[in-house]
Amino acid sequence: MVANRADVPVHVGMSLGPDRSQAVVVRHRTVLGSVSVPGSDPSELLSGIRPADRAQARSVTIDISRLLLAAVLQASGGLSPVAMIRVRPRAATDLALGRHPAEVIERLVTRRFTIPGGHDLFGRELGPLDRQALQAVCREIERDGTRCIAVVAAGSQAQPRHEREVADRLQAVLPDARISVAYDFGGLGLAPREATVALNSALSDIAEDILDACESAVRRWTPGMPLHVGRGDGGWVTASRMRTLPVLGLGAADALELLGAAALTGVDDCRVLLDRPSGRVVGDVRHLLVAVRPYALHGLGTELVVPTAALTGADGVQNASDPMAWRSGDVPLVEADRDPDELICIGAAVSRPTAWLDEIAFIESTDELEGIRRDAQARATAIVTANGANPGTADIVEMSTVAMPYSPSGTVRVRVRVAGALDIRSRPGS
Amino acid sequence: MSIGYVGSGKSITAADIPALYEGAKFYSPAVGDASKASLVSWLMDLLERNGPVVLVRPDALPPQVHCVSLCVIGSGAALADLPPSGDEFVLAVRELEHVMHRRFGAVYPLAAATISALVPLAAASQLDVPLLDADGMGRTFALIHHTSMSLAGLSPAPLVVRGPTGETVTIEVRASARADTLLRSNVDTLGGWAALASYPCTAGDLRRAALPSTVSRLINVGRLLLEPVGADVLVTRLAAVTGCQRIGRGRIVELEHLSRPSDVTIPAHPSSVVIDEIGGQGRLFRLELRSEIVAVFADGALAAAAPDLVCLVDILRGELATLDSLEPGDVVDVLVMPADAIWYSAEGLAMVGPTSHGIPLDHPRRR
Repeated sequence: MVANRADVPVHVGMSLGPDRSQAVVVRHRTVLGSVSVPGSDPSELLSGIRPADRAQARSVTIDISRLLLAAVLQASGGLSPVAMIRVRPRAATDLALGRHPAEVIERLVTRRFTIPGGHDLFGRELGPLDRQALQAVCREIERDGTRCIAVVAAGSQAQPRHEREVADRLQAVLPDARISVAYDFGGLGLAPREATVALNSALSDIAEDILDACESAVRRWTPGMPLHVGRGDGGWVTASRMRTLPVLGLGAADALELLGAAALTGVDDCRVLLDRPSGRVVGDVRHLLVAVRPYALHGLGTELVVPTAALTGADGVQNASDPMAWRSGDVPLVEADRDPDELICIGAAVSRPTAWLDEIAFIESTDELEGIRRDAQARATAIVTANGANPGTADIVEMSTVAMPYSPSGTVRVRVRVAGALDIRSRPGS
Repeated sequence: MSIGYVGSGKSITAADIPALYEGAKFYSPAVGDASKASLVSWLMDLLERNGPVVLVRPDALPPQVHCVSLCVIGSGAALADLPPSGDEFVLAVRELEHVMHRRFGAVYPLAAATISALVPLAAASQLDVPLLDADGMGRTFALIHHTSMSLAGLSPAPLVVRGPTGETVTIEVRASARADTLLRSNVDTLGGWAALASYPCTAGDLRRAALPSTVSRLINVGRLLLEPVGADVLVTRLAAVTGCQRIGRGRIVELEHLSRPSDVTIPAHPSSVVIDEIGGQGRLFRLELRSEIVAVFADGALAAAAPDLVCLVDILRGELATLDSLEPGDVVDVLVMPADAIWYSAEGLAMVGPTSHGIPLDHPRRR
């Protein structure tokens, strides 16, 4: 049976940039209309969409990553200063290990503290949380007035008790503080975990301002219209979720551009060539989802534990008809030859709600492994539903469990990626 | 950046650290980059502050100079999450000096690969002693008595481990094989990893017992890996410098766990990776893992096995694919490289060959 054209949902994708912003209206990978305006005012952008397209639109998905990145990279980007608290058995004895290796993070962090405590990767306590030290840190932060606080505890992916206690105590002393905790992001490695939580904290004020403007604009444009915000993995979350975890928005432009280029070609599995000022890069799209990795975000100057598009230099790949490119990737090669901003918007319009888990577990049998996998899938599904997916629409799109080298026998790393459905979105008022 | 070969280096500077890191990953492509930023930044800062570290072969030192090996024992993931405070390796050496009533005049890597190739450099800088251009494995093996020093009759003991918790354990043991067993439970309690100072001996001992030039070669290989080239060019260059060969290219289709009987004395449980060859003969590769890739079967026939070094290159990214981040769908090249000749002796194969991993087959290079 052929679907009635009017039954195929229409989605709006937008990308806000510091200098120029764009929006497209998309029906099943076909661009119905496009608007571009100088600056980053979402109201002005939405007002340019034709009334006929507006009447059919089911949702608006906005990429704000270029605004977030510009704020991070500009020395005077208006980001909030951050107090960073590490919870680990001992403070660093070497200056270089006491700070973050990336300049971009060090610029944000104005105060640093270490509170003795923490757990190992299996959640075993390495030492009791030093509550006297915690009190002293609370007093110090209260005195200097820092409102954005990032907390990262060793082993909090497995046992967040110390991290939570620190955050709870700080919140009690500083009710208006914005506290980010590393447990919310999972992942491995102190430096990438610290960068993730520091950026999340620093971005919270500016993200709130941007999202306030977006929500207000969409509400005025069409009351009740669902608003989604693009993630670095090429998916989306609700605006309220992005307010608390704004670091998830970084890198969305790259991922959505890949997705947009793939969507236009009509193939769900391909490699996409993108032009960048520093040269061409290539990324993969599988099942119309962008291939992502943690620690992969380019142009930021630090690694994050949250997944972003896995882009790499395209040296050796000559053009779309290059037989080597086909042989190496075993999938078609797509050259993204349309305006990048338009591709980002198309990617946003066809994107899906997503969630990601990356954690360490311990198994003693294959049955136990199955239990661990089921549990991880269930939690990832709950997260994607919290991110805005309609209940019952989530698919496990990627799942891997690998034995952790040189770790005790039975240690596995579990990574799960879940995506909700694209088109099961309610029309306003329905 | 130049990719010319630099023979045995005379010193290591801060500028060499990125290449050293990449080369060290090539010789043990098991653990990813979660600790890279912290360690590289720390090492570069140390060498900028303290100046270059002198790199010497054991035969360039007076034979009576006391030397000690250093490595990270335990989980790379644990170290990434709980990086060193900075004094663990120095204090492990100082404690061993205290136990043995002697001063060490040089340090060397127990295994010149992965992060264990980097930490002796940090300690050499902090202690202001030379770093030996030699090690005991030429790659990494899972147990601390799987070394060329053990084959030469040297003992790992007495040994000291110092954990990120600030605690120290000293072990004196007669049988080398017992040392690892005694260490593991302590390492777990110390936070999952620890600084290990072991194999105290003289430069004269190491002239006959250690594998030479295994540190300087890391920088040469690392420079190749830092070049932004496609996977095909990279593999060709690696083959020219290291002697590695590409067995095949394919897509990962399955990751399996507990795929062979497990022996809990060796870290990481047995697991397997199945790769569907793209092009070529359309073979099915089965890779058997145990912290490293210990065997490669091609359509059921043993094509490579430990002590061969087997690594995977991610075709999309043109870089090494580490074993802690493999995913079904990844397209990889399977590369095989011979280890040092000592490991293909009867004693070497008995220690680290396929039978030591429960694969009772003759090694392909010995057929």
